[in-house]
Amino acid sequence: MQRSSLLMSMIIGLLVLAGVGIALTQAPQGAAQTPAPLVTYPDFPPTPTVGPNPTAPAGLASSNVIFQSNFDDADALAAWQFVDQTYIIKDLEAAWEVSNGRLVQVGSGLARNPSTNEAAALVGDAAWRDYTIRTSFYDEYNGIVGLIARYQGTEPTQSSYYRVRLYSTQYQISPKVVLEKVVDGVSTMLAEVKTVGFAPRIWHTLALSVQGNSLQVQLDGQMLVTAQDPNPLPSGRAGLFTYAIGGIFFDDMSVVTP
Amino acid sequence: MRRYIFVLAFLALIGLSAQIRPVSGQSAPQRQLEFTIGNSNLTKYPSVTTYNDKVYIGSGISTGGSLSTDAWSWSLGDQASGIAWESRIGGLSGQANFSSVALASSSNGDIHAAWSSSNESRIYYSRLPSGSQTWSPVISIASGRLMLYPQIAVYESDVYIIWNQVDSPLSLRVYRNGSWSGPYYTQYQTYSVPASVAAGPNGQAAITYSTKDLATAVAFFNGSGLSNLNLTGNVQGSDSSIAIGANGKYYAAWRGLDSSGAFSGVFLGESSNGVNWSSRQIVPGIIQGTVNVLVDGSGTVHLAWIANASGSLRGFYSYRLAGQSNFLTAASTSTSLIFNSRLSISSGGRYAHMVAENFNINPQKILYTRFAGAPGTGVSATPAIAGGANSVGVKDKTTISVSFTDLRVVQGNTYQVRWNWGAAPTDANPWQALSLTNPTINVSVPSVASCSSATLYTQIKDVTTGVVEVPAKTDSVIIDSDVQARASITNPYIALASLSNTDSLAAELALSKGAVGAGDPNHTRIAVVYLDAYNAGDCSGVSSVTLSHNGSSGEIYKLVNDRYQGLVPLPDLANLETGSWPVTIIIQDGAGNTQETSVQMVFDDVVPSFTSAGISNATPNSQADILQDLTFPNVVVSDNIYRNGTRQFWGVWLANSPSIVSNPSTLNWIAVPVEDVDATTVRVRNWSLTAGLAEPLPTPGPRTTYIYVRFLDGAGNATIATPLRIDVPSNFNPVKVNLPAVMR
Repeated sequence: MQRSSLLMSMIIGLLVLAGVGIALTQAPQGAAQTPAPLVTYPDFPPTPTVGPNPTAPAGLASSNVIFQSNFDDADALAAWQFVDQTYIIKDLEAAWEVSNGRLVQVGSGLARNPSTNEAAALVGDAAWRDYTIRTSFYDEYNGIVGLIARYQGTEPTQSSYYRVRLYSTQYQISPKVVLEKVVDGVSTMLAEVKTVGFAPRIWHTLALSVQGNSLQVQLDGQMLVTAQDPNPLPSGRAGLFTYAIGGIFFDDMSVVTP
Repeated sequence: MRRYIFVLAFLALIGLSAQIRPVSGQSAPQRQLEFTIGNSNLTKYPSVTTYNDKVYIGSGISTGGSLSTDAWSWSLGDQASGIAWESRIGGLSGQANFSSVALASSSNGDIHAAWSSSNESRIYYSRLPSGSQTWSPVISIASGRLMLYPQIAVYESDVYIIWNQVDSPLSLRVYRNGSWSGPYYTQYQTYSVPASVAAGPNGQAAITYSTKDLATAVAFFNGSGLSNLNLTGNVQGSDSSIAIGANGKYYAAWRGLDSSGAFSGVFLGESSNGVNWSSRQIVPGIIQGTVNVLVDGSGTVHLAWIANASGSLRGFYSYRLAGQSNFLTAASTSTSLIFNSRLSISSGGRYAHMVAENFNINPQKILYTRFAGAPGTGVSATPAIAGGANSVGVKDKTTISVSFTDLRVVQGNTYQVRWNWGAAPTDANPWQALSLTNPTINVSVPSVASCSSATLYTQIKDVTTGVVEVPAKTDSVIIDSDVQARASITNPYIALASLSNTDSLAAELALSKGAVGAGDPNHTRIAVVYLDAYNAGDCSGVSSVTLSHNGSSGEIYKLVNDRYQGLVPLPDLANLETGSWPVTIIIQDGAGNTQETSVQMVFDDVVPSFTSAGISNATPNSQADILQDLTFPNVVVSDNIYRNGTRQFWGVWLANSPSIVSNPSTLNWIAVPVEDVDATTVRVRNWSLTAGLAEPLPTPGPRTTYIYVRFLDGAGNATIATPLRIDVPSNFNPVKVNLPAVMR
């Protein structure tokens, strides 16, 4: 009798233990729960939020607006032509998308890998001559932003245009601002600023004006650089410029005539 | 009954708690070092590999302009604070995106490189032999349409190189058994991101790549082709890598393409057989570039990737011990805005080395980051045959000593080692004990031709944990089974006669004039012999020659440039006695082989005694009486040692004189051996009446030459009695040479 009692108690004990064990090991894996990551990151400051879109620049209210987009929906992409100004294979062509009411450069190709090819988003008409292209932008980590004016050509690596390139203050490069004229794919610098870049992770407004043979670049309403071109490009489309690295947003883009 | 339930429950909880306790040696990874390589301009897709405690980094770089121009390599120790060495591997040309370098190490420490040169549309290969500072000549592996993103894996001596081509399957070329095969092609076309290749035990070689529709696929090389498997199905994943564990288990890692949620972040797949895979998301989020996976010999899985954390693209590293589910809290690079990382582990997995493109700088350069924290395999030992010698002598030996260095072991654990010549050990090779205090074993001499290379493979096993070192380590050595050298000792006066620089030798012997060239080769009248030892084709070179006498300690003479020539004292000089003096000559080659010979030298410093002689005469040569045959009948000379039959002298000492002199010792004496005419008469043939004369050659005409004669024993000692004199009348006719008549 005692032996059977002992055996019974052991069986019950094992069943209890099995239950406890199952409860301990299976509880975190309940189907209704999101699996916890199997690795955690070290403590970093919270990821900065992009913040609300800036107030639209005053130019958007002008009757001289010949093009504008606030990228409220994906259809906004239809007006744009996206080109790579560096030779690149198809899988690495710059990728753009509209997301959260902004035009986003998302890297290259379907895999969205960062690539160093020069990426441009073009809009407008080849007959556009004197105008100001203005955009708001927010850079997370790309480091390079620019604008294009009077773009002519069908082959992106052999086209002609004006372009301003502006670099993040965190990017170890000099000069920080380059205003250049590209003729048949060959660049000639018109003006440069060695020290002034843009601060990342805040919204800025960048504008490039072309009028006759005069060019002006403004950052956040402040004149950044000017140049005169004795042999000005005649006319052409406007555009946005960056690298196909991803991590940069554009919003409230407009083209206005004087 | 209730009491038993409580007791059992308590014991079970103890057991459960034991299962989830932290593993000994587990500590979170830490970043140890980070720097940018200054001259790595325009780097794209840099590569890193390791061998033991050395780190090698490779990349295409630009030495000017906007194109890549060189395939470059750097090296540093895995605890060093900076680059220690760098070297150009070869040339390349093209856009940096498409001109990249990949490195891998083999078990013997060779570093292998493959790179693409986009303007040439070629894949190149080179090898840095272990211990060398110079890359081997470059060979072209493939050419054709634009080839990009080469990757390389090496296991023992097998080399696997893969590359992408646009809108094409991935290509693989294989080097096995001394020749290249392939290319072999994957089933699916590839998307243009770098793939990954790994090699492992039992001939395993596996590839991961991104398919055109952005699935992650694996392919296994079966010796004649590739079998393929889609790992992610309809879910997109790319930028994968693959590793093969010591037990042959496969590990693949990739990134999900969503920016958040279940299909984003880092994924890890594991498979014991390559067919059935278990995959899990390790961490969600935005990942950029390759997710790197490696596994060390103890089964610790190492992961590295670049993620958008806190708004910045940083590199991360973590590891997971064998048997665990979770990785430890990751360590990160301090630099952000980096792309396209690669990882390697060193010192058995204790250190992890990440390279990436640092895009904070223009042009972009390589960011190197070292992490530590993993306990490492604890099972690694590098063999050194004969202490690391280039060659080993095996003459008259059956075993060779092998010591082990760079031990990665846990003190207190028990270790075994197994070995095999020419291939990694298998179960056919027995384990034997390995002492940690004296990690040396003896292995049998391999069956290879003398002066050929043999490679020893070794593996150690932690008997305490059962962990086996993989891959096997190797060391190669030249097997030298014989001495190919010559050594002799001779009468120093003979050498004096045969060498051009006799003045210095004469000075060394304090000789002015004397019986130069005199005597028997095995006799010497001074306590000196002429030693000549040289390499006669020994592949290890010849290091020394030793002379000893009857077991004396002997004198060692080192060869310089494989040769020793000089006058040396007879061995055991302190005990030297007149008479036979056996000398043992031991010559040793560079591999330690020895060759022993014995020579019966005779030391004789006693002059012979002249008693009498018959009438000596001279007979002119029929062609020219300037040459005379000298005949010496019935010469009675006694010597203490020299015997040639009954004759007790070796030769004669002759001096010509145009007149009779009162002191013949001032003449130029020349030693000449004699030949026996018969039992009582000896002869010197064709003695020149001009030999040794100081004045110009006299013109032909009648004259008398006076030849003075002494007798020499074997050692060149001359009789001291009044010399004999032979008066020789002649016409001093010189030797004539008759030329054939020429008719025109």
